[in-house]
Amino acid sequence: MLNVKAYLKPDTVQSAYEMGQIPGSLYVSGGLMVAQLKISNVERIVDLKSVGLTHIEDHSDVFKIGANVKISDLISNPYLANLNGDLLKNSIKEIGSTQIRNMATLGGSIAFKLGWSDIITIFMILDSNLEIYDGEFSKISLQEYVKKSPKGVIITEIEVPKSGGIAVFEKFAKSNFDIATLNLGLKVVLDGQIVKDACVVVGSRPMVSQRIKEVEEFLIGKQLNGITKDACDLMERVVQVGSDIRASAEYRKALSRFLLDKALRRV
Amino acid sequence: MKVTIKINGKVQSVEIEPGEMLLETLRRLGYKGVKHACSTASCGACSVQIDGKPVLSCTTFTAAVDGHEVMTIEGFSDENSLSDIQKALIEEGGSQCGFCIPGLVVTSEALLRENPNPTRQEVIDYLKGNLCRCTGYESQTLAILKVAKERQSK
Repeated sequence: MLNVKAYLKPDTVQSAYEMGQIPGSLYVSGGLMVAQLKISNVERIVDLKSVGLTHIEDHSDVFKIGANVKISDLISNPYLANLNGDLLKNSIKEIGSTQIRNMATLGGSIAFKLGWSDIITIFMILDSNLEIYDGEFSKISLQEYVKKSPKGVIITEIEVPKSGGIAVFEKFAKSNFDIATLNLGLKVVLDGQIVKDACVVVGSRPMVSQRIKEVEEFLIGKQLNGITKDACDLMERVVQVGSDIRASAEYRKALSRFLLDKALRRV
Repeated sequence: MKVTIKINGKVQSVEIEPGEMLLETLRRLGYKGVKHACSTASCGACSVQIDGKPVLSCTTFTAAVDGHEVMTIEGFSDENSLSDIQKALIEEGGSQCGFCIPGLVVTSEALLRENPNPTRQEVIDYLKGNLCRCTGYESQTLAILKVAKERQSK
């Protein structure tokens, strides 16, 4: 049990932010991560679920998803689930277990910027933007957010553009309930067989997910058939990975090539 | 702090610590069918339903459940008879030490409510967060499929 003195339930994002600025405060959304923290300096838990943010709105050019939407609810909207070739429909079931997907929220899964997050890889492929609150509301791309690590901000909404293309997510783990040893997302926009645009993201490196620009640039303008080997060679050469208890950097490099190969075959 | 939770159909007002987990609260209240195992959201032995959805009570703050409805294994059968899922698990040899069974039953009840006629793969996928170190999963999967078929025929 966390030895906290208060569990606060603010009514608004603004009041949640004010509560969160007091030293010793910690935001909680789904609660999975916070419940497992072994830290003693948390005095107040600020429950963000009490401010709502559970909407999934279908706009003309974007989906707007509240930060407190549960991972299991992401596929409740069929249009969102089927976006970019059923990306969410096919990939969400690869994340955690039924129970974890019923608890973890989209905002919470991004806010911790965990290296092994499948959600960050998936939403980075979708070129998502975040609405955040740090005294005022502003927007930041997910890619920038994980790079900058802004402290004390609250993620309020995730915007997913309705862009074209087919996206796939691949994950290598000891079991599909386990944390990924490496995960990879690929989105391509095709003009016939020619790649017009590409987005390649590798996560669980074990560092946080990162776009692999060199591979993206290599893919653009090429015919999809017949480039797999060269793309995989390049991926293995340029991907920045590290070693941890799950795998060595060399193993992850080899995996990156295997996952890209699999992803290219799927699109 | 005080919270009000509907547990197995009975509204209860409970005094809790702000950082207390639902697992601790439920066991303190006598719901010992909710098992204390990994405490790291890994094994599923502590599974309960909150508002009909299976979750892990070891990593759920009790304070967050204020005003919600919780169902534990005790809510799916009475003292004198087993539920159809529990009976099927015995018949199919799906239980040995039995420690994982309460969580498995709670999760299976949610599965069969959401998807009354699951395929074998759908059962496996839905229950992958409920680890069993004795029986393996084949007999448990067969038991769930058997109950699904029986419930359909009623």
